[in-house]
Amino acid sequence: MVLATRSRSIPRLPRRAIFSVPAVAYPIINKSCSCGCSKFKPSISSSYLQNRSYTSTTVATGHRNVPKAIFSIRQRRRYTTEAPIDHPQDRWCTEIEERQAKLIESAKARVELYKKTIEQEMEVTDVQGQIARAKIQRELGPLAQLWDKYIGLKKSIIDLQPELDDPDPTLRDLFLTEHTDLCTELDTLLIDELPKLLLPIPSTALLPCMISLNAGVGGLESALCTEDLARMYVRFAEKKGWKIEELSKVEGSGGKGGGGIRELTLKFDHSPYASQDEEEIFGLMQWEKGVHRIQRIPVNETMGRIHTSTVAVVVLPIYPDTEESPLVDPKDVKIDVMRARGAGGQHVNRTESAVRLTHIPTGITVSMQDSRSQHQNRAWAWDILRARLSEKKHNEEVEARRASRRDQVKGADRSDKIRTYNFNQDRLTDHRFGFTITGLQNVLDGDGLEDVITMMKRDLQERRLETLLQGEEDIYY
Amino acid sequence: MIGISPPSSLRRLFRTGRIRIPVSSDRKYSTSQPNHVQTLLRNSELTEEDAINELRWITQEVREKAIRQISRGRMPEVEEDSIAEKVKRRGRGEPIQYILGTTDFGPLTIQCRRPVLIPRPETAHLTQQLSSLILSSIPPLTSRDRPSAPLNILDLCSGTGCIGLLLAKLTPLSNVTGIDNSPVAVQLGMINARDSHLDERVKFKYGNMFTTDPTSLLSTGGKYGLIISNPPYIPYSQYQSLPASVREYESPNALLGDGSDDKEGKGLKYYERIAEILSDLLLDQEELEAKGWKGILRLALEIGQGQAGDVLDIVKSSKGGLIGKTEVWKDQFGVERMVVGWGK
Repeated sequence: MVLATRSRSIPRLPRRAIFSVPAVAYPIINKSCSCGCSKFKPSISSSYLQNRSYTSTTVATGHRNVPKAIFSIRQRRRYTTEAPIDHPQDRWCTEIEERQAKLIESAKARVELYKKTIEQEMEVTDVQGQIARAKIQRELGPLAQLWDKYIGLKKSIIDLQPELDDPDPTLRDLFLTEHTDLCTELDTLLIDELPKLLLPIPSTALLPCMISLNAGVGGLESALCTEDLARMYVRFAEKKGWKIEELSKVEGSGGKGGGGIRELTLKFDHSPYASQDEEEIFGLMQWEKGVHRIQRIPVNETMGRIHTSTVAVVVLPIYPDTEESPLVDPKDVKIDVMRARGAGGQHVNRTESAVRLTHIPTGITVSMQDSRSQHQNRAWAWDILRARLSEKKHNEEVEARRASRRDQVKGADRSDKIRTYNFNQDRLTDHRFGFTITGLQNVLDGDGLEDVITMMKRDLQERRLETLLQGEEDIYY
Repeated sequence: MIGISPPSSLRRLFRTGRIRIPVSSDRKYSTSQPNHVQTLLRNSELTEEDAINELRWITQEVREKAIRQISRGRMPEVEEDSIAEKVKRRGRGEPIQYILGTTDFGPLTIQCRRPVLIPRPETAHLTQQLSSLILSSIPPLTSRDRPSAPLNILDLCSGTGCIGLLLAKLTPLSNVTGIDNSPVAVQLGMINARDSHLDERVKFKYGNMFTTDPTSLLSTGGKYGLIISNPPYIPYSQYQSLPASVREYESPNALLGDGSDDKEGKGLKYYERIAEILSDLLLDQEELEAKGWKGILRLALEIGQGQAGDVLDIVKSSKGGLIGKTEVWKDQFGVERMVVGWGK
C-alpha cells in the first residue's frame, strides 16, 4: 500500500526495493550513507566537530574547569599576541567573576587592542590607517570605559579585603557591607553590561526569517515526520509570541489532513507588540538549517520495523528592503503573465492566480499559486524572493568575513545532517555539537527546542570569545 | 496488478479486445478517498493542474469556514461531505467563485452570488491602473490648489460593486455611487461595501440607464466628476460559443451587449446610451477644475476584444462634446480592454 500512497513526483521504484531495508531509499549511497548504517563514513567536518564538543563540555559542566581552559588559552596566546600577561591581582573576587573568566580575558584582549591604537595615534599617518584607527576607537571606547570601571571596582575590593578581619566588630560590619555592595556591583557589571558590549547581538540575528521544510525520501512516513517537525516549530514560535504566516503548503498523499506535509514554508516575524530590536528570530532559527533525521516505527508499518526518514530544513533571513540598502530593485524583477486567454474579459471566467517573479540579475525565479488570490500570491512571491536575495547577501557577507579570517574551518553550517530524532530510544542527538538529550516529546512539543538552541548559542558565544581573544574579527554564526 | 501475468487464454482475449481491463488513472492520486481530481476534470474548462489547485482551494475554504463556524459556537458541516458536494458542483461546470462564494479583486475580497457577474482579473488590473493615474494627478494635499471636495464617481452597471469599491479603497478622496438595474446586484454591492468597510463612501442604488429621465441617476452630491462602467458587451453572435461556466451560470443581462432581443448588433447598445446621457451626468470641466480636480480623466469604459474602434467613435461623437482626448488601454494579457477619455 506504500506504493499507492506515494506522491506522483517520485519515480516508481520496483516493488522489491520498497519492501527491503528502508536504507536503500537514500540516493547518496556511494559517498556516505546519512542514515548511519554500515555505509556511513564520518566526514572531515564530523570528526572536527567532535573536537569542538570538548571545549563546550568544559563550559557546560560549570566553573570548576575554567582555570584549565584559561591556561590552555594562554598557551595559545603566547603565539598569537606579544602582549604580556600581567594580571597584578590574579585572583577572583567573586564566584561570578570566576565563572566569567573567559569573558574577562576576551575583554582584556580587546581593551589592549584599544590602548595600542591610542598609543599608535601619532605613528599612523596615512588616511586609511587613520580611518581604521578611528573605527576601532569608536567601537571599543565604551568597552574601555567599562574596563576601567571594572579595574577600579576590583582594586577597591582587593584593597578592602585585609580590613575584613578588623578586630572591631562595628568596623568589621561596616567593611563587610561595603565589600558586599562592591561585589554586587562587580557582578552586575560582569553579567549585564560586559557581555552586551563585548558580544552585541549581531544585527542579522534580529531579522525575521523564513523556514522551509521539505520531506525527504520515505513516502508517507517522511511526510508525517515533516508534519511533526512543522508542529514543533510552530509551537516554538507560538511560545515565543512570533507572528506566524504560512506561505505555502503541499499536503501529503494521504489527503484529509492525515497524510502529512510534503512541503511547508513559514514566515516568522516579530509580534507587533514586542520590541523589534531585542528579540532574536533568525538568531535562534538559524541553527535549524540542515537535514533532520527521524528514526521510528511509522504508524503505518505493520511489521514493526524502524524506518529512517529525513526532512530538509532551510532557514533564510529576511533583510528589510529599505531605501538605504535596497535588496531588490523592482525594475529588475519581471512579473510573468501566466497564460494568454483569448478574448478574455466577460467572455471567459478563469482564476488566474499564479504569479511568477524572475529576478533578472541573479536569475532567481519564484512561482506561487498557493492562494486563490493573485494579490496574496504576489505578496508571498515577493516575500520569498526577498528571502532568497537575503540569503545570498548573508552568504556573501559571511564569505567576505570568512575570507579575512585565518581559520576557515569553523562554523556550523558545513555539516548536512544536523540532528537525529530517535523515538525508540527517546533521544535527540545534535551531530554538530555531539550532545544527546532524552525527552524527545518535550522537544517535539516545542518546549525542549529552546534548550537545544541555547546549547548552540552558547557554543557560538564561546567561539566568538575565542576569536576576540585572538584579536580577530567577530563571527556571527 | 503489475508483475502478475494473466494466463495465456486470457491474454488472447485482451488482444482481441473482447475483455477490457478498466484502466483508471485514479490509482496514482490516492487510495481510499473518492477521487476529487477526476471529478473536477469532468469540467472540460479545467486542466489537470487547475484541478489540483482548485481542489486545494476548496479544501482550504471548507476548513476555514468550519473554523469560523466553530468560533461562533456552531457545529460545522462534515468536511468530507462538504468537499465532495463542492467538487461535484465544480465538475458540472459551476464557476468556483459561486461555489466558494468569494473572489479576489486586487487587494479586496468580493462576495459573489449567482447570477451576478463574477469580477474578472482584467477589470481589477485596469481599475488599479486607473486609481494610480487619479492619485498621480492630485496635487499635494498641502498645496494651495488641492481639491476642495472629494471626487464623485459613478459606477454604471456596478454588479458586485467591485470596481467602485476598489477605486474607493485605493483613492481616498472619492465618493462612489454604484448603479445597477438588478436588485440582487444592488443588494450584493451593499453587502460588499459593508464587508470592505467602505459603506460610508460607496453607495449603491437601483437605476436603469435606459430610463427617460437620466437625472434619476444623479447622486445626492449632484453630477459626477468621473464615470466608469463595465457594461455588458458580448454580441449575441458570440454568446452561444461562450464557455458553459459563463453562459449557463452568469446572468445574460450582465453579458449581452444588446439585450436578449437584438440578435444582430455588435454589443454596443450600452456604450451608445452612455454617450447619450453623458452630458446629463458629468460635471462641466470648469466646475470640476474649480474644485481642484485638474486634468482628471472623466470617462473609463471596459470593452470587449475588437470593440475599441467602435467605442472610440461613439465616445468622440457624444452629445455635449465633453470628452476631448481619448486613449485605449490594454489589459495584462495585451488585449485592448478599456477606453478612457479626458475633458476638453
